[in-house]
Amino acid sequence: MFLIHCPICNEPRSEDEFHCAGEGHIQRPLDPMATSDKEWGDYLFFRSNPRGTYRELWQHTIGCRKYFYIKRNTETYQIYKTYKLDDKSERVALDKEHSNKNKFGDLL
Amino acid sequence: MLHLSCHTGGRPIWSDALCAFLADDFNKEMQCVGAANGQYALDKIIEESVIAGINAAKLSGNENHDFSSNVNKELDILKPKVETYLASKAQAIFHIPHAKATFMAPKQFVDFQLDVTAAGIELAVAEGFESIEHVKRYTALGFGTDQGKISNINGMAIVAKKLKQSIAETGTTIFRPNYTPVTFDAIAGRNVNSFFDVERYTPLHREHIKLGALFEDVGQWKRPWYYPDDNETMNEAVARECLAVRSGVGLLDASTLGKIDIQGKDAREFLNRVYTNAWSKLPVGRCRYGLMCGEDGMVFDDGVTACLAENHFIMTTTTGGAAHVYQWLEIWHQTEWPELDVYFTTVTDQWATMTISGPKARFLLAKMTDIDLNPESFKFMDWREADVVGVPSRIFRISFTGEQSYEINVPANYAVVVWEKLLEYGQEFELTPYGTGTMHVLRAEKGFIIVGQDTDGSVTPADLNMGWAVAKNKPFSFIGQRGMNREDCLREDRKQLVGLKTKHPNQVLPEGAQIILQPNQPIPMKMVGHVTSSYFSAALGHSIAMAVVKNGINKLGDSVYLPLDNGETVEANICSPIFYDPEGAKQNV
Amino acid sequence: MYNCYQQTPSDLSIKKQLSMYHISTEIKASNAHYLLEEVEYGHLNIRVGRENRCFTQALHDVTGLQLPKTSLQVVQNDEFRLYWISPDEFLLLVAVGREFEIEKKIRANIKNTDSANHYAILNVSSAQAFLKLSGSRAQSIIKKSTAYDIHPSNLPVGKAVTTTFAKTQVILCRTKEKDLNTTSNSEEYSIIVRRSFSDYVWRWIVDAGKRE
Ligand SMILES: [Zn+2]
Repeated sequence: MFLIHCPICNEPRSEDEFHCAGEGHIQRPLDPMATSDKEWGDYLFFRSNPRGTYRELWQHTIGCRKYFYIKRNTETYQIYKTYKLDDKSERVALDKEHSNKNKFGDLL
Repeated sequence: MLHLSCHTGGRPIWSDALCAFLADDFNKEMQCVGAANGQYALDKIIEESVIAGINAAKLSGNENHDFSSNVNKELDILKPKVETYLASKAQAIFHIPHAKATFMAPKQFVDFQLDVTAAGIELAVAEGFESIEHVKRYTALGFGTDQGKISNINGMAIVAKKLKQSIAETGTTIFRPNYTPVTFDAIAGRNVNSFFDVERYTPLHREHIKLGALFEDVGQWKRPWYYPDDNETMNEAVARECLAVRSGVGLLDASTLGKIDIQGKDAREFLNRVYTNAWSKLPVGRCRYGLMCGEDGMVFDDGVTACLAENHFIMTTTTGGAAHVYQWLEIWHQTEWPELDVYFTTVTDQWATMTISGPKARFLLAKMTDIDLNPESFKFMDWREADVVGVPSRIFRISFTGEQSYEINVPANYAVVVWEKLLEYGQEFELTPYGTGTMHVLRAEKGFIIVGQDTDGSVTPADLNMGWAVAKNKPFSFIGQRGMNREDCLREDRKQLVGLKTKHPNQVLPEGAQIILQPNQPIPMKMVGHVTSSYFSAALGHSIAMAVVKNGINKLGDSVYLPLDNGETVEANICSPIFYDPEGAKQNV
Repeated sequence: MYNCYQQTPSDLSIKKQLSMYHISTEIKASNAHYLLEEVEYGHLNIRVGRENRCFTQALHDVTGLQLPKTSLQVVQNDEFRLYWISPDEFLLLVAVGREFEIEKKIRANIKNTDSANHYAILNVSSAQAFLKLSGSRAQSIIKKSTAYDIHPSNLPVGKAVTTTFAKTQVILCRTKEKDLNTTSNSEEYSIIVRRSFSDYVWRWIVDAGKRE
């Protein structure tokens, strides 16, 4: 058992009060019907599943019932931070990581 | 200690000097002192401890002492004087030498719990197992309840020697919790017997016990299953209860249905997005059935939602799906559409729901309330506020049986009195309490699906022949719309919901039975579907079944075959799943 | 706009059955070490954003209470108790039987009647049970039932947490601290649990209360 800091209740709570809702910062296409089967499949089924830093959506289910993000390490389970849905800083960081990956391809 | 370090992800490091494994520095926040750090001399242990203590105090932030930057000075102050003495270096005998080769020499047991010998370990290496993890699994070294605490180092040293490499190169297996054996008793704690799982009761539980109900587990709920008369079997009781509803009036405790209160000016818009059908025009006082799909276009819940006021709805969900649906609404609202003004509150426990169903339902209800029950004004799919035997209630005229049916919702605190009065006034109409057993048969006679029984997460509304419950022209792309329009979901030969009538009317097919088109084919046979629901219908006098069959909707009238596990093959005809009152006239009267 | 519904019978002879009715109409369980009671209140669930001044003013006019300023806080006066449940959810406890009157009053006091004025009030008096646990064993019973740290420094009077309790969830509150003048441990806790789970929680506590 470990403790997770709920950014809404603003205190650490036992892990079993929380529920993981999968990878965070997944953008739903604005017009689903306009997407190709491939684009829709990518949105619906494909996740990055990295070894290392991962940003996930979690809910404080037995608590305030609000969703929030956890930035954590999938290898060590270390939680770097938890942050609210309206915190855009990690979104920016994530976009940067993606564009770097695209730019440098396999070099990274 | 080494175990604790491993549990956080560290890999032990071999020390030749100490003949032991030590924790690595993987976990930067962990400090090892004393023997755990390979330090056995008392004065050194104290020295390390003081330094670690200072560090820990600093890291914890609860630093009251003003530590000097000179640790040696601190040590002078804090460290007690102890005698130092010299200890000789550790020496190891991992493998007792013998004049003969190990396998010829007397047996040398390494793992005393699993009788692994030095010869066995050498054999593993000779067989080509070089990784210590493989040697462990080949020999069972360290698999006992001591988890290798007695044997592992000796074993690894023997492997290293045989492979002519160092112990450091050989490495060690990983330690996992628990450090010592833990009894199941300690893990179970008090979660045994009636505390093994939560049991949820409806406010009418005691009334069901009084009537001799047997209970069925539905999720964590205890629901009345059937109410046997003396010596009645389940089949007899269900047949009696079914006939009573079809010819008179029955009473069901439907309190376990999930109920979610929805308020806000965007409530309708939200319903439009999460249900497949349209909600923009549902007037106050009316109810509507809705299907909920995942983004993949597969049905995952259904239920009736009523418009209580312009900005106020009450949604019902399946008993088992209540928590999931509630979470589903919240995640979409919080993460995707926070701009919609809508609040959801679970009210499953607030309302007790008593359903009276059957051609005499209205006569019974008329004894209980003064509101206008005229079917011209209180129509099928209407709801009304009413005073029922003095208790304020909401009555929904919806039907899961196909009969004239009223769902009486009262605050749970006042449920018992309404139930008692129903039984009292119901005597005149031979009111028959019925349970989930009967409910299942009655709904199947009408071809009404049960999500999770007739669907399995791979069924679209079109597969259920419920295209009528999918809006084509809603402005916002509702959840599931894109998914159900994927190429694969539009195939004609998908498994589709149909009814089955067995050739012999008394044969009740087993649920889950596989369906084939040709009875005389070699194994493996080509399976085209399976039975999802199957009962004997007392009202119709024959068995009925619902099934999913490839392209079944276009195969009405065709024969199919069901090879059973007793070797018998049963013939059945594909038909509409609506066996009883296909025009739907009875629920409207 | 909303269906605000009188849920209690006007006929006072109609008996009310609390959540533990099927076990006992006494709604009390105890031995020398603990006392467990079900207590009647009117429960109003309130959903509103803190920025909705119009609503918070109406709430204040009727109850004299402001929304709790920080998370997990409980504010109260002689007549009302208001729990923080989440940033936009609060639970208002009122004297039993007054829930409809208070709900109507709050709605009537809301000056902005525009449908865009976003809030929700809901009578949930039947949906949840309020249990009170006291006695020398109260503390150890709670400790055995939740992972939440109930030390007074973490769970003082005036704080309420939704947390795990055995295999279910409750809103847990310390309602009375240990009296320093007595040797006995006279702590008191309140547990708000969903009605259909109250039997489980009740039996769990009774079972725990029997143990050393
Ligand atoms: Zn929280």
